Amino acid sequence: MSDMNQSNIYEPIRCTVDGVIEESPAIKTIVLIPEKQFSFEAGQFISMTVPDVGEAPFTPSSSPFKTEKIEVTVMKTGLVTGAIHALKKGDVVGIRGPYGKPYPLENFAGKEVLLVGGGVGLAPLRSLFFSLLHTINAYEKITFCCGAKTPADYIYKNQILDEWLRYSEKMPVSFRITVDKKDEGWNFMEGLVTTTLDNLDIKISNSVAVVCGPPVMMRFTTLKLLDLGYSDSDIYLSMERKMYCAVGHCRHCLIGPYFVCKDGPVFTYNAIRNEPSVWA
Amino acid sequence: MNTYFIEKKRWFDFLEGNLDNYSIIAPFSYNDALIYEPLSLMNLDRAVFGIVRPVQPLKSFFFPFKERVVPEILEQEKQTVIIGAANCDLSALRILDSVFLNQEYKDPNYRARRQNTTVVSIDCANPLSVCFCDAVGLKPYPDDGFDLNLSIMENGFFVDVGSKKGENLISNKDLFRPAKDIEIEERNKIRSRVGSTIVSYNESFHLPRNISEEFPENFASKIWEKIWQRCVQCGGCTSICPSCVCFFLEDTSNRERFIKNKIYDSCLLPGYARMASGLSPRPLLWERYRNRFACKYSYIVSNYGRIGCTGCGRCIAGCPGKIDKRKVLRNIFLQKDEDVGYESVKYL
Repeated sequence: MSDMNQSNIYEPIRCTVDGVIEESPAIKTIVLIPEKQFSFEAGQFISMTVPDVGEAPFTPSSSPFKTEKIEVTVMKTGLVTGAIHALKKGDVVGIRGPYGKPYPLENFAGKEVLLVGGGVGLAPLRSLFFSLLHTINAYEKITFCCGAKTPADYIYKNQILDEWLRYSEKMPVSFRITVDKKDEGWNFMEGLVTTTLDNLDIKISNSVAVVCGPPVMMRFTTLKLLDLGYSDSDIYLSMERKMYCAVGHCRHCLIGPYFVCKDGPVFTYNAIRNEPSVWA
Repeated sequence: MNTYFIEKKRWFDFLEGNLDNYSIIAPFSYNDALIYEPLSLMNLDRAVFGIVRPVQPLKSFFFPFKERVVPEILEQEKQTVIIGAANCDLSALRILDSVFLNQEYKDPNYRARRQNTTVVSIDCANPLSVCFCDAVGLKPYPDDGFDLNLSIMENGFFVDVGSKKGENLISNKDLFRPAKDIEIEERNKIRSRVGSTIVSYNESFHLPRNISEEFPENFASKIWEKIWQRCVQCGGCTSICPSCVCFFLEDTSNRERFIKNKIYDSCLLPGYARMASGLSPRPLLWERYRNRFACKYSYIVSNYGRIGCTGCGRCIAGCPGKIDKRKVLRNIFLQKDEDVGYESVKYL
């Protein structure tokens, strides 16, 4: 829950930019130090203000257990994200939140958890992955499918290849790593992220799938998961919509009658599948 | 509920006596329409009570077109009294309360203005030809939701007291006397006559008794792809709608402090839901047009348990494409493919 005593719901908390990490040509991770205590759970999002430019929603990509610094991974696509990419150490931004519902980890207990992320969609999944590792014994196993266009577009590449892959030695964690188009040094899979779902070593009836990525990737991943036998109530989708208030007032983020900001941002596919324009 | 009677002359004395204590807003007549203006000694005798609903929606006083929300606007010292809203606008205020007040997150300015304002509604006496409150289950007079409600009679006004705030406003009872039952009966006759007038205006549209319950789930209907064609996507209907709440936030922060403004938005505009990537869930006008209807008659009902339209008819009267919303609804419910336009609006 966010700070209920905060009298003005729109007043951001000042943050200083502590560092900027270039993840790929189009994606940067901004490290923020909030002036006030700030915490979130995996899956919740924040609204980030770049002064005199605007505000946009992002799900933090850092571990929810590290609260002194918060990381936000942002792809440059528009006005606000463009301004975020121009940030330098020492700059001031604002954040408010956290908003929305966290990933329902209680529903994942005892299950085989499949994470499917594409491009910048790996950002919320990284935060979720840290949360899952924290309570790893609660889950049967974790399969993390990661995709990107090319090796150069891979975010968190060093972390994934140098640290995470080694987790599989001591924990029930495995990875399937692909790029749409490989280059010479690439030793992993080639193909769209949906191809990583072929020949899964997962008992589907005891599994949940968590998907995050661009709309077209989420759409085809969902269709593939349904084909594989996943129930539509076991497919968790991170939905993205235009958003301003983030608190259920301004109505920009509605999918049918559902607010992405407060009913989401994560929905099971069965909750929204009959609403218009789900895959916009 | 206590009901009093006040003679017309004394009502104006009552208002004059309260000008020092309250900022009073009342309706004035311009070209056959009523417009809210601040009341003063200079214009007091020209205020008009109870002819038609004012052109401006009541929401404009609580949720203005543009306002600063960071830093929030501090509460004014003087209490405001707004006189003249009909039941359609009182109902709209409940939707705004549901959105901005009765949720986990409260809008700071809205809350302050609601606390600071006494709402004096008036029975609708002359419904416009565009009015269709009966079709959305409303009566042309309120049973509750007001602080005070006026019923205009020949030689004076009935005053219903709906809240403590309303009671406080008329605490000096010298000017008021309790209403007699026989007088109330006379009022009920007028109320039911006005109600019948509105019903007669809308019979030809054959709307279902409960629009929201029967609103089609079938979003794929081909009907939607045709009925939007008169829409020029100006966003006028959403701005003048007493219950539309959509807004966007503008950031004008500087190095010293955060500054944010809240400004009306319209779901009919192409940029409304378009994301930075260029993707929009509703790139086509007919999809946005359908969304506005789905929002009013279905989504708001799911979100807040009440229908999102109050039948005030402003969106019809103000439409540059001359779209009669009732004809749109008729086409949807009867699966018709007829023109949804009108020739002219008969005002009085």
